[in-house]
Amino acid sequence: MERRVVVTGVGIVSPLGNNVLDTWNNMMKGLSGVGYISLFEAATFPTKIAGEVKKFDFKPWVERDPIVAHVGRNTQFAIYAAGEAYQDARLDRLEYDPKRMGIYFAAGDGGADLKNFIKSLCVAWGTNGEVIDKKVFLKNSPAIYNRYAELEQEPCMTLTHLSRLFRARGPVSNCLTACAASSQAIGEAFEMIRRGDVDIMLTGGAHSMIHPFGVAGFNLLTALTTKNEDPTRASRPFDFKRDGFVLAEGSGVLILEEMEFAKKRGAKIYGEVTGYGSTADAYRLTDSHPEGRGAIKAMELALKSAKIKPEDVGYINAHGTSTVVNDMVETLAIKKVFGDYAYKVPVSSIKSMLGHLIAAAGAVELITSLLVIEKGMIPPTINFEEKDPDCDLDYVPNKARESKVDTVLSNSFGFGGQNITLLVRKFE
Amino acid sequence: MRKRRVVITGLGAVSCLGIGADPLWKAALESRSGIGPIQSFACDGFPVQQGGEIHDFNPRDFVENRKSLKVMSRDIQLACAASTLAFQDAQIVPEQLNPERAGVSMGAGLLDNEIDEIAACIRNSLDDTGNFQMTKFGAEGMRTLFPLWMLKYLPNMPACHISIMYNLQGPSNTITTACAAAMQALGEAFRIIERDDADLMVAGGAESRMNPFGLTRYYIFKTLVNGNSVDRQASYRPFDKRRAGFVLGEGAGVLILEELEHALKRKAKIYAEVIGYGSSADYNYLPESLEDSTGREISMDMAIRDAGISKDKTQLIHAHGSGIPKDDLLEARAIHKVFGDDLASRIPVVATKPYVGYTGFASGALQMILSAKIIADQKIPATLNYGEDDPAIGLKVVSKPVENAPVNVILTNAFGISGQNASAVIKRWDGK
Repeated sequence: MERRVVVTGVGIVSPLGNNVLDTWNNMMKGLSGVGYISLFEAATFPTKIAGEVKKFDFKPWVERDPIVAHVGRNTQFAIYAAGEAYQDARLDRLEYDPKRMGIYFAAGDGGADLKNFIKSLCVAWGTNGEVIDKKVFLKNSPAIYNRYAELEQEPCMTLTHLSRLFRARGPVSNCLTACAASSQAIGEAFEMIRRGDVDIMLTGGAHSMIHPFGVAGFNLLTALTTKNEDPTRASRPFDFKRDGFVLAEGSGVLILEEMEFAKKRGAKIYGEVTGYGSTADAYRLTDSHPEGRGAIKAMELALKSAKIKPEDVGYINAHGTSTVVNDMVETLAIKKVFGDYAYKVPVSSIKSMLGHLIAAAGAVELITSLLVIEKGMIPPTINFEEKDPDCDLDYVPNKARESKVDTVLSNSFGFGGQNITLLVRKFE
Repeated sequence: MRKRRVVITGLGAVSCLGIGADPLWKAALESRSGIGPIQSFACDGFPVQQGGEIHDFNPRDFVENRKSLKVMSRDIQLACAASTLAFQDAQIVPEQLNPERAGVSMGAGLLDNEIDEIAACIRNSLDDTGNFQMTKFGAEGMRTLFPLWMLKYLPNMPACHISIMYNLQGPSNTITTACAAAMQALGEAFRIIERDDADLMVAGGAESRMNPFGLTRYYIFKTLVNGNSVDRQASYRPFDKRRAGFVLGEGAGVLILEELEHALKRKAKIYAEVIGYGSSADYNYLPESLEDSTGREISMDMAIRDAGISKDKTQLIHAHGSGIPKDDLLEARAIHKVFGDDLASRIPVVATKPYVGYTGFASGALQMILSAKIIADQKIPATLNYGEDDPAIGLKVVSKPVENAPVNVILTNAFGISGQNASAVIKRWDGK
């Protein structure tokens, strides 16, 4: 008999709140979490705005386990959101076999230790055309660098802390496929439970690229919006005046369980994960395939694996980044997969309110999708003011909408061409 | 439904022992290491000056598109080269594949910046007194970098470039679990074929931290063998009583995994069948304070159970064998726990990292390439530099090359120092 997978716990740290409920309530009000960057002096950067996490207090975790005093911002968010999800699923009160619990995460990097990084270079300026004198650099850098700060930059470290803090001994993995990462992690976690390797998976993603190299890198690629004058209106997926995404940070964590395992212990069930599709564009590093080849195939594969028709989908949680190309190609791909029904199914992008959480985006979006099923409300695409002839679907403009939804399709497409589609459905 | 079986049909390696899997295999059989003095940057005066550095690699031999080359860090270049070599070895013309049924799965992690490139940008962000000013960085400094700079260092780019080079439109994944990364990428590729999401996967890993940043980091993590004796090459000695850490290497390993029928239909050369995979977590944190070996046990146990074989059928353990004193001790302890003291003292154990140095994200793949060669050629290379037994280890370490070794089943381990573990079991292909 096929093993089925349900979601029994959720946790969020986002620009709209440091838990699931606050984030959800603020999305229902159509609020934006975007503002001026406070994490570093960004006044002269082409982009001065981002979706920062606010009033975040990690101290209780450090008091509980001093080892986490050194972790990167990404890992702080991950631990915090995982704590909420773990408690929400009541795993803290369950005696389970740690071998039967795994983690498939999508953690980004921990962020550079910028001060010491710069110092290590500034004491080693070279002569004879070399920018840096390597000998001098090597002589000084071991004393300049903090080994904990360097270690915690590695994207595996989030996993290291999560498995220890949340008692998971089973399969652990971390994928980093840009903006598709946490959706891919959830999809792979789903497959591990289906296969029978584990009964419980902690999955999701955590990321913060709101640091000087992150903003500079995206600015150089001209991927970010430069609508600095009005931060809350800068992220405008599918709107005619969209001109790039807004960088954001945070984490989304889900507890997945095998259905019988969850039922037996009387767990609260948010919904069932039923479909997963994973493809590559194999086209270009920065642009999506112009006809949405990989995106179409990912949606088709997810529908096929869930054994449902496009018409069974009641809401599409779009990738919707607010870049000119993504939103156009995603619209095209939805129309190709859904035919005439594309015009009837509501499609919205919560990136309009949160900004783009990069590796963590998909997880927060899937949690939102599950809440849509539970609460019968669809989050809006805010800042949708002017129609783009290329984007002509029902994007749930500006106001949350009451609607009974049983099945949600959620898209995540990554820089470099990874496409992931997930399907969740109401649990009967 | 009958289980879909997965075989290894192509091997691609780039290491300090040369371009391709064959030079690596040849050197291993001759007990020859590629470790030598680091030449690509001046490190005299530094406590570590030796490494497994690749000298004869020209990325242009593998990447025709000059524009692509510009956005590839060395890690990405090595990954692309290894994938090309793997396709060649498998005698596959990528254009003849069904692109939707072929994917890529690569191990990677933080890719180090080129020091002069990033330093130029910092230097252009200094004020008159030589202090870094963020406002100057935002206004001018960052412009020193080229527009696509960020893409050069994104961890998912090895996989993305490979998917683009070979039009692989199936799943594309990048696993970032340090030294377990490539093995996990392989294990997950195995699963993807097994569950019918692809017929062919390009899988492996690449790492080049052979640069001042990488060397500094590994040095302060206290994982490197220090000291500069002339005997440096011989100082990398996993499981030996005198082991003191690892010597840094760089490289890439890529394997072609194929669904059995797909491989048979095209009359492919089959190196081995992948029959088991396991992964787990240790609750460890710092390399010098490793305490927990439970995860290593679970990883091996899971792979063996997944393979559906009894433990005594394991004829060789290709160990992670990093050479880090505690790391080797924990691996040995886990082998004893899983196999029992009697079997553990009888199954031969080989560690191959001293041939190429410690290659991090690539290491699991380079190991699997050697495991595939061992099983196909029925020869076991020596654990280089092994000389003195450590009673605390208590394993039967292969210290001399073995000709005519009847090896049918190999367990290969890749354990990350920060707690992630992966193990795989391969079986000799006997034609059925």
